[in-house]
Amino acid sequence: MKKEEFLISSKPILWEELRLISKYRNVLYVLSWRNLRLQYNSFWLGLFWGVLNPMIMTAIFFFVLGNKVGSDLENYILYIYSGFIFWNVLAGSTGSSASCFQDNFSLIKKVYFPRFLMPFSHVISKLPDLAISFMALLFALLYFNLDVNIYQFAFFTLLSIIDLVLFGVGLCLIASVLTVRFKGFSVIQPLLTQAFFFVSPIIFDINLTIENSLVRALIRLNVFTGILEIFRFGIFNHSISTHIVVIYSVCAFLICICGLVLFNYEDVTLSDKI
Amino acid sequence: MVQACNISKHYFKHYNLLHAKDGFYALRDISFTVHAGDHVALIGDNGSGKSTLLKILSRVTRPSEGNLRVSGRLVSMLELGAGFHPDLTGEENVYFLGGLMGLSRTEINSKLHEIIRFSEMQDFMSMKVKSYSNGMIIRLALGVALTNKPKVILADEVFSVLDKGFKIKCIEKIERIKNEGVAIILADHDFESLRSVCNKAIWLRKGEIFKTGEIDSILSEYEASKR
Repeated sequence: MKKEEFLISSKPILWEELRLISKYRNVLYVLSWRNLRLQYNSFWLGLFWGVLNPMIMTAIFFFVLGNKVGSDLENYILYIYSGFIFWNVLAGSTGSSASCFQDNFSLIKKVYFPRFLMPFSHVISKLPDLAISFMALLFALLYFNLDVNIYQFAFFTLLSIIDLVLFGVGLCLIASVLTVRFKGFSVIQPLLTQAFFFVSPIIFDINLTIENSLVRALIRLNVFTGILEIFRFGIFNHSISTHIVVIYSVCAFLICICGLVLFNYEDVTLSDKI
Repeated sequence: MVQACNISKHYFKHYNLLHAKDGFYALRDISFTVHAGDHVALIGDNGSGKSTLLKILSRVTRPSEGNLRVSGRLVSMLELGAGFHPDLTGEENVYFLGGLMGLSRTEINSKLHEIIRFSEMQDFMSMKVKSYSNGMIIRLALGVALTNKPKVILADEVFSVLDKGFKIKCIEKIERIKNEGVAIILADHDFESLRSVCNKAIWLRKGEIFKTGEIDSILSEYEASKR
């Protein structure tokens, strides 16, 4: 039997906490599995919703904006869809992880596991949805017969998904900490999510749609903008410079670290505050 | 083995938006060592810090000062059935709780039969936990915890909620685990069960260790002080 030993002190050390991931990967797995299980009553229904949700949203925005915004963009319907499958991961995971400690307070107050795995698991449990809706995207690419460089597509898709997970984990950790500390945060959180939707180029293109250069600069500050650009570069071959790819990837990584540091600071009194 | 070194726990009466104020100590300067083979009863009045100490030992909350070293797989039963989700079936909850305790799916598969037999839940495993009775939840949670091959067992008021028959069954199970050399820390008000399981006792009073020693002498002294 393997030796298990741990030392607990009054202040958690971030590096030590991160090393727990490998030891507690089982916990991450069961937490993610439980999120999925509770979200969808049946596996097949879950798959169905995973692909239907971004499709419906795409259809709505295509019909509303297709003539105006979409007139400058080729394959506008694919453009929106590719934005929505990423957006759903981000919005879904931050929405459910913001209140995760309140929702599971009896678990948090009575059973130990590394707490940051709980917001983390909410990101992981959105990935099957992403996988399914991504399959649909692949079929759409074949149908629209886009000229896609397969290596470029694979590389940038993978990179953007890694960035998305890092960014999502960072945001989820920050959202969960804010909800524990400020009870009112759960009220403004949907508002923030909606605002975030419109400052991300999901349904529009920054350069073609936005004319005000100040607004354009603001949207450029959004890390999610960069992640979407990296993802779409693989699909549409729009021009992108290497330093955009590097800068936004580093930013996503930094946000993840920020979330972890903030969470680690809050972790000291987390279970006493809920 | 559990080694506690100068543990204190400080609580705040109010959490302001950014600051916390008006604190008090729930535990003050607790130090003790529990080796494998020591079976310790934590006794004391309500509010003396038994539960807080067990919370810190099971890592649910952190000590404000001091540190703690635990070696071996730890199983804590602060509240039986706390990890169960009402919308999952009994079997799914066993996999979930086992996973939280660090067991892999294959390990649970091999133990599932033993858990079900111990908790006498053969007919109810595919039922959702929200339709379970209290007793069923408690039995199932105990089954998961005790078939987990623990090296350190922590339990808070477990015996007080069990019926006589199942209590005897639990004590028998604990006796069997004891032979493999485990450290046990129990907080309870059921002295009869404590006497049959434990060999040492720690008496907490107002967040401090008042007395430690052999179980019989401490328990009789505690009982005498209440008369």
